[in-house]
Formats: sequence, C-alpha cells, structure tokens
Amino acid sequence: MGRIRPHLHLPWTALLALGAGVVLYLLTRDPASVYFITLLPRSLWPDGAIACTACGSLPSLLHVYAFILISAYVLQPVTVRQLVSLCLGWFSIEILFEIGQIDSVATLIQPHLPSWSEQLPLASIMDNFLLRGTFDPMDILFTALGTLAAYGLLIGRLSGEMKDDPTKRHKQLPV
Amino acid sequence: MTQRKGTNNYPFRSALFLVVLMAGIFSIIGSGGGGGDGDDNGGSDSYGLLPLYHLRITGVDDPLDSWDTGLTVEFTEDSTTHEMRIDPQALDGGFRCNTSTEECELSSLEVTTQVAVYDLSSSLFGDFQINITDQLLFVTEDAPADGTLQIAQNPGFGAVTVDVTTCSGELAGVEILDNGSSRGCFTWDQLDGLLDSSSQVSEQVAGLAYGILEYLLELSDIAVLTSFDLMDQDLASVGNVAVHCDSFSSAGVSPPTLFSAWDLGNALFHFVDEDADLEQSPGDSYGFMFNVCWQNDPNDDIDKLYNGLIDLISLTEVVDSSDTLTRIGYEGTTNGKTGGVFFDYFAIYETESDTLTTSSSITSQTQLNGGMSVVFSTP
Repeated sequence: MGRIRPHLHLPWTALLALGAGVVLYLLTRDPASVYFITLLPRSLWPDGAIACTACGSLPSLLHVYAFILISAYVLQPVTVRQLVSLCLGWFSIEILFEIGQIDSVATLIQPHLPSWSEQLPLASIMDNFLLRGTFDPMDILFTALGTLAAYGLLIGRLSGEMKDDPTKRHKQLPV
Repeated sequence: MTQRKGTNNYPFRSALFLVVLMAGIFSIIGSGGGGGDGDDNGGSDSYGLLPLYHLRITGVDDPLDSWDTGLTVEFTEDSTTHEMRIDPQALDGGFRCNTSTEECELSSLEVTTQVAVYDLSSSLFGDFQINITDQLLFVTEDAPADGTLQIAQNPGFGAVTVDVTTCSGELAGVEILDNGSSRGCFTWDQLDGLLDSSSQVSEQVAGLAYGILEYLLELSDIAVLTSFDLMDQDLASVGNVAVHCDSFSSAGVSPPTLFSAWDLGNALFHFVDEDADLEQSPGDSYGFMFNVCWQNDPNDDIDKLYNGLIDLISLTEVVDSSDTLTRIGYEGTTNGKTGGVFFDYFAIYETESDTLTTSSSITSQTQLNGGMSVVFSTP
C-alpha cells in the first residue's frame, strides 16, 4: 500500500490556502470581529470591510482544505480508508462548530461551558464565536467542497505513490 | 522496516497532529464565526463586555428650555401635585456585568454622587442636595447592603443622614438621623412609604431622596438599557421596531378610566441616521414613542404604564482593539444637537390591578421633561 509522502508541496499548498483565507478575512470582515486579526499590528488592519457576497464562504473551503493537507503531511495516511477518515474528521469538526453558531444551539451550549474555562483567555473568544457567530448553510456547502478538493488532491497522490512503486502496496515504506 | 527518527516516528507524528488539530480548532474559533455573507454579525455592533463599568448620569440642558439643567418632574398622587427639578450633577455608580450571559446590574453608587433637587412648587421641603458619603454597595440590585447618603438643605433642616443597616428582626433597612439624632430604623418598604405618610419632615426627605436616586436609575434602565438591547435589530433598513407591551384583558382586568380605549398599547423604537451613512454608528440617535404601554408584573398588583416620547441623542460607542466595549451611552453633540436622553412629556403611571373587580386604576402619575446624559465607561 502507498503512503502520502511528506512532500513539501502539501504544507506549502496548505499555507497558501490559509494565507488566502487571511487575506479574504482582512478584506471582507470587520477586523475587530476576527480575533486572530486583532493580534496583528493595527497598521495592517484594513480601513473597512469590502462587501463580498460571493467570497464570504470561501474561508470555510480554504480552512478545511488547508488543515486536511497539513494533517495528511503529518499523519501520512497509507490507505484510502485512513484518508477518508482524515477528511471526514476535519469535515465533522468544521460542521460541528458551524452548527454551534445556530442561535438555539449556541444558547444551549454556552451556559454549559465549564465555569473554570471562564478563567482562560480563550473563554471570551469562544463565547464570542458561539453567541455572535452566524450560521450559514453556504459555509457547510463550501466546507464540503473544500473537503472534496483536499480528498481529490490526496487520493491522486496516494494512487500515484502506488502506481510509481507497486512493490510498496503491501507494506509501509520508509520515508 | 526501518524508520528514521523524527517525522516518521509515530508518537512524534501523533503529537504533531495534536498541535495541528488544536491550531485548526483555535483558528475556527478565532475567526469569530462570521457568516458567509461577509456581513459578520461579529461586526462593529458585536463585542465583549468588561466585568465592570462606571456609570455616570449627569443633567444636561433641556433643548426646549435651555436654562434648566436636568429633569423637571411633576409628581401627582392623591390629587396632590409636587413639581421639582432634579439635576444629577453627577450620579456615579458601578455596573457589574456577567461577560458570558451579558447581563448587567448595578453594583454600587459612589461617594462622588451629587444630585440637586429644586422644589418648584414649594410644596415639598425647599431645595436640597443629595450626597453619598459612604459608597452604597449593592449585593443584589434590589437594595444596598451597605453605605450612607446624606441630604443637605441650605438653609433649612440641616443634614439628614440615611445609613444602610439591619433593623430589628434582621430586616434590611436604614437608620435615619436628623442632624445626628436617630429617628429610628426603617425597612426598605417603610422608607418607600415615608413620603406619603404623616412622618417627620426628616423622614419624608429621606424617603424622597432615596426615591429620587432609584428613579434616576429606573429612567436610565427604561430608556438607555432597553435601547442597547434593541440596537441589534436591523434598524438602518427597517427604520423602527415595535416593543412589546402587555394587554389589560389578558391580565383579567380592564384598563384605567383615563385609557379605557387602550387594551393593548404599543411602543415604537426608531433610528435617526444623523450622519446619513445608512448604518447605526456613533453620533446617530434613537427615539421611543410610548403609546399607553403597560408593563404587567404578574407577581405584583402594582404595575407601570408609560406614555410619551424619549429621544436618545448622539450615541457614543467605543470598542477597543480586543473587541471589548469600553464606552457606551448618549453624550456629546450631533448635528448641532446636545447629546443625552431627553424626555418630552413622558409620563409614568403607577397602576393597581384588582382581579376581583376586574378593574385597574391609576394610583400615581409622574410627568417628565428635560434631559440627562448617561454613559457607561471603563472604570
């Protein structure tokens, strides 16, 4: 069986996707509403958000795509089943957080966050995410597309590995 | 099979994956969870709260009567009308907030508080000033657990001191001192009823003074805190939003005679886009129009009914770089108008419902004109 080799193309492609996502956030969102942008120097903040209906859900696609590639680089799945599990795992995480933004779900979850978590610096960010984030079915669609795109890229590499070296099909290979 | 040390090592890769997993989840949360339309609900009107704010209420000039600062109040009960002007030169308090539930309540009134009261109808006790001399500390919002306020008249009855204490029977209340001599201990309910009793003047003054502080806070609650809740509505597009009032018939009573045709009143909250930028932003104004709006407390026969106009001029709103609200209220100027909360023949009626006779009646009426600025800021 082949293994997705830890080729540097994967992390670079992932970083490129994440970078594109950050740029999209910088251009289309109110910077004060995005925690990781507030960590950047204020001089890098854009003056105002550009209305961008079409590209609004693109960060969901780019995020899941990038993290599946990075995870594949790290875990090096050797079977299609492992690859599918990896993709579905990330898809599930993204969808769970998206569902958590539905008002009725968020108000149900938020009071049950453990009280000790209020002491953590992440607590207010989590509260902000749950209570002020917006559930959007388009995000789910784009997350699915991102998952499929990552799967498509990785399954191609997995097949390529097996085709290049048929002797490697039934054993794990040193990398 | 040989494995190199490092990236091909299973424990190492597992640990690295854990880091990737955490980074992925953190970046989802850190994105603020914006919706796909790019119009992030976590936008400029979305922010976290500080655990404590400083509240300051100060009287501002009434635009209709520019030499009067503060609020002109006509209070009618049992066919007797008292008219006074209340000028909160500074009503300073603490406001604690639960940053998770975003529920806030009064936590203290500070020693910097000074409220001047002018007896316009000469039916009260002359002019006097209310000062807090020892911080009033609120464990619950109902009544303070500690503190002292002092009422000074110049010239006149000297100083009346209201000291929060525990009366006999472990009942919470106050001790009233008239120029240092104790007038006795009064529970909060007793203090509330002192003005309309045949008590000593010092006791009536004490009841009135504490009632005025409560009244200013109630006005701030009705107008300002309610407006903050309603700002989340898409007011820039729809222009106004209806506020829920209660129906007399659903409470099993008929409306008071004065409002016999109004079983169900209404209140409209509207937006004034002062800078014409088609969105709600600092400098914009709001307004309430109450039309016989009855607020029924099912656990109490005594309820409130609101009628009249409140203008909320020149919103101030400051959010810092960590997306935390550091200042909000109504102050400053906008389009040449003084900022603040302005009452225009705004009336608060106290109604009493009698479910046995299925009727309700008005027991007192307060009519208000004038303005005050209300600001919550970083302590």
